[in-house]
Amino acid sequence: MSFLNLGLPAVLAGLAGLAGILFVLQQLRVRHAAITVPTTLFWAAAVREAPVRVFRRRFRHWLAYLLALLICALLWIGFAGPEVDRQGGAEHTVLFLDGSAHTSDPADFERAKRELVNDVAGLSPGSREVLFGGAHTLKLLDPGEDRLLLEKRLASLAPEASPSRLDEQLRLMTRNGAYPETVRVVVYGRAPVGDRTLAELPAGFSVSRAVGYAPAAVNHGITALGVGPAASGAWDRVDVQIGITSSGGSSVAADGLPIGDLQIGIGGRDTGDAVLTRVSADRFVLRDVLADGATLEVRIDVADKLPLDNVARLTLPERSRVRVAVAGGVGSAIASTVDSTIGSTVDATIDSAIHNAIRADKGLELVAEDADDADVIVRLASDTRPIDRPAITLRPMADQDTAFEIAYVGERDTRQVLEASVARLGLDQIDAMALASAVDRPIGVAVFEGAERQVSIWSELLQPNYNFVHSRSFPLFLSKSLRWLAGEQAWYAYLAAGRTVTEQSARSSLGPADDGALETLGADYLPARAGTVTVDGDADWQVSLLSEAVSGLSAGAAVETSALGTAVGVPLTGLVPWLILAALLLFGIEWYLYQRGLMP
Amino acid sequence: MASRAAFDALFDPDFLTALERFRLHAKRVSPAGRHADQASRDRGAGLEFADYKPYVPGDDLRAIDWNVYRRLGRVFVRVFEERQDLPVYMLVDRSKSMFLERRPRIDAGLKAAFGLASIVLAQHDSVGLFAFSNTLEVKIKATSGRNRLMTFGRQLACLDEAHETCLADAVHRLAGMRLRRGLLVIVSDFFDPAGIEAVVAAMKLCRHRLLLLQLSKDADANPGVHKDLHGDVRLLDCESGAAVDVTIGPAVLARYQEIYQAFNDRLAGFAQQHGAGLIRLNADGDVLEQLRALFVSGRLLV
Repeated sequence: MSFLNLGLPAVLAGLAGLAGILFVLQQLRVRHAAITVPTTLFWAAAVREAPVRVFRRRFRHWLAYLLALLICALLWIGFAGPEVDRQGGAEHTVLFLDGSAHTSDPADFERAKRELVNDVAGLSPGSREVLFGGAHTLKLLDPGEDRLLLEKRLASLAPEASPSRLDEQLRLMTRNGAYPETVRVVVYGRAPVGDRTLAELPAGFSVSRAVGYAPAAVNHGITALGVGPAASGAWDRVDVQIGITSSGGSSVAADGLPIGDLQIGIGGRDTGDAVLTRVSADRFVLRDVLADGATLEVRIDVADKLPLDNVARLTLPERSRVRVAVAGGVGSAIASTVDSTIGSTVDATIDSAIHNAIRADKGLELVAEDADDADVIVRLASDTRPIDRPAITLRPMADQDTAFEIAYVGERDTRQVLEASVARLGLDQIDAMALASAVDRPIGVAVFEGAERQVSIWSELLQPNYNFVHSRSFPLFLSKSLRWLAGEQAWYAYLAAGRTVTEQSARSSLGPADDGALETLGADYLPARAGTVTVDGDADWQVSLLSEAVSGLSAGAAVETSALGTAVGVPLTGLVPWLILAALLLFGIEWYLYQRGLMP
Repeated sequence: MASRAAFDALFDPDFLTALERFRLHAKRVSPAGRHADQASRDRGAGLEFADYKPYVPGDDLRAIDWNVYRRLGRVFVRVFEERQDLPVYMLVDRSKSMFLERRPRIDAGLKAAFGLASIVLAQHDSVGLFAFSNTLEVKIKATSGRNRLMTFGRQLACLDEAHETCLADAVHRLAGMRLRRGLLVIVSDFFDPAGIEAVVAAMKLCRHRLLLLQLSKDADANPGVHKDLHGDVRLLDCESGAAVDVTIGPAVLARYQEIYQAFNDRLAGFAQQHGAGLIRLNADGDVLEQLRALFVSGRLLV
């Protein structure tokens, strides 16, 4: 026997406590308030016929005590909710309701819920639990909880646009040690079980499917949606690649989705002059889409098995050109520090290296020295004009301890900024050893907090004899530094539910990652479901499902389909009314005996 | 004790003036008393003609009825009824129960006793004062004269709290005294630990006529009016110190009232059976008003 509301030790402890309390109550006498009266003559006579209660007296009335104890025990056990486990074995059953996109067909999900509710009614509450695997895994019913709670909790649940979490849950169950040796996992829904997951299950674990589903009909789903630089070379435009997976029939899979069934919208408008072309049966490219930060939506306009994979959204990058002003005399100032016979040549070389590097990057635009709308300026430290915008400052070695000094804005951890800046500014591409040998000083990077973003470098490093301006790392350094100084927003090639975004961004050369957005998302950020992710309260990113397993109607590894059927264990919550009835009956008997003077 | 029954309070002029209209009459007083206003069985000098009797030597010649002698030729003398005094013995309870509570019973008891004494002394009868608790004390022997009222009052005011109520014993003792038969006024709550039956038995043996002044309070008959008398209480007898634990509920309360009613009924039955007077004097009420109810038309016949 087990109990719904309390564990066996709690029930026994409660019974012992009740017995003790009743025992003490049997012995207790009341405390009397002393009152002086003219005579006790009449009271003494009256009391002789109605004995007074006393505070403590010898324990005499065993039968009365046992009757009271029996009544209390019946009520206590009734409160504990006894039930007889007919299942017999010690097997723990985990019922997993799939709420991922795999079971997003309303008919499938409703059927899974019905089967779940039916099966839970037949299981012993103490040895079963119910999980819901949507974007996150939720526990719907703990062991011992009343099954009546389940229907209420199920009412608000719906499938979510996320990949299945069944494999992850199975791995967790086998690792966390919270489960007994014998566990039976019953899956409700179409979530597939991975071959590897199934193979790695311990001996006592078994997975079965409660309902056998017929092979699905035709399904089309968007499994890829990403952006890249426009092949046309236009800086402010990107190409969007779309992948469609079709399943459910060989002809459908071979021919793919007709291009006419693909609806594309950008920020609520049509694609403009961007052209959608088919590159293979399952790949499409939308070329020269204006990179203005709008939301691009791709929709499959065909009724099929799964509705959640028919829509995908992507936040387009916002690519504006960075306007750079180079202060006059930069080259000549540096050249003045070298031999005068080659000064003019050096001057021209430095100026042209800076200008060429800027012109080579289509994301950068060279503007006049005194242009008010310049985003970043390149200047000498000796320039006396006030600094009112981010700048690259060239400073003599004598005035600066470290080769590269980076000033950042805001309260952030200096070490993190230092680590991040090496890659973001392209410093990792510099041959620091060669430079250090040439200048005969160590090449280092220092960061500090400042009022404006600023990158200060030794002006001597730009001299031709150090070979920095001629190296391939110089344009990269200049380009990345200017973008970082201009505060260019980060963007991602794609964001998919269930896939981390950090590696994609770190490896991406599509654009610089600003130190704001990515770190806010976190290095291990994993969007759980398709939808909108808000970063820092104002930047929204669209996440799509993009799952081959979902859209391809993956059945996963073959697992046994065996319905739990009708009750294998019958919870006897029906005992409670009988217990209460018995207690009331005993109450009646006690009252009768008391009224007849047969018990104290 | 002046503090308990203030001497000044006893000598309340309004109270005494109001009592002047009251008269206490005895049907017959026992012989050998002093000349006074109460009718007696003694024949002799007096104003009220009673009978004739043949003349014998030694009779007062002034009493010979010469008209009878002229008609009958025999000498008869007129006999007159002698009017004598009624001895009144005040037996006042000074046990602890009389001094308990915020308005103690002794206050009303002393005032009633003093009032009766003033009535008695005003009509030339004699008053004696006896106080009792577990012993009987003679405070004033029966004397008459209005000027004795002051002495009587002082003695009353000096009565202080004693011990237990032993009324039956006190009545026994008083009955054993060789006192002229008169009126015994018992001023008490009658809460004798020996029980009402013992008191009644003692009073039956008493030769005096009885007037019982039972001092009571509202809480005696209805303990519910006492704010502390409910639930689980330990009742301490103020005289013996005996404790009685009681869980006061409706059943116990009803049973108490039955017993108290039986106590009162027994006292009233005795009074009715033996021609004794009984006054239940509420200690919380006005003594004068309650005495006025006793003296119907200003007269009390004992």
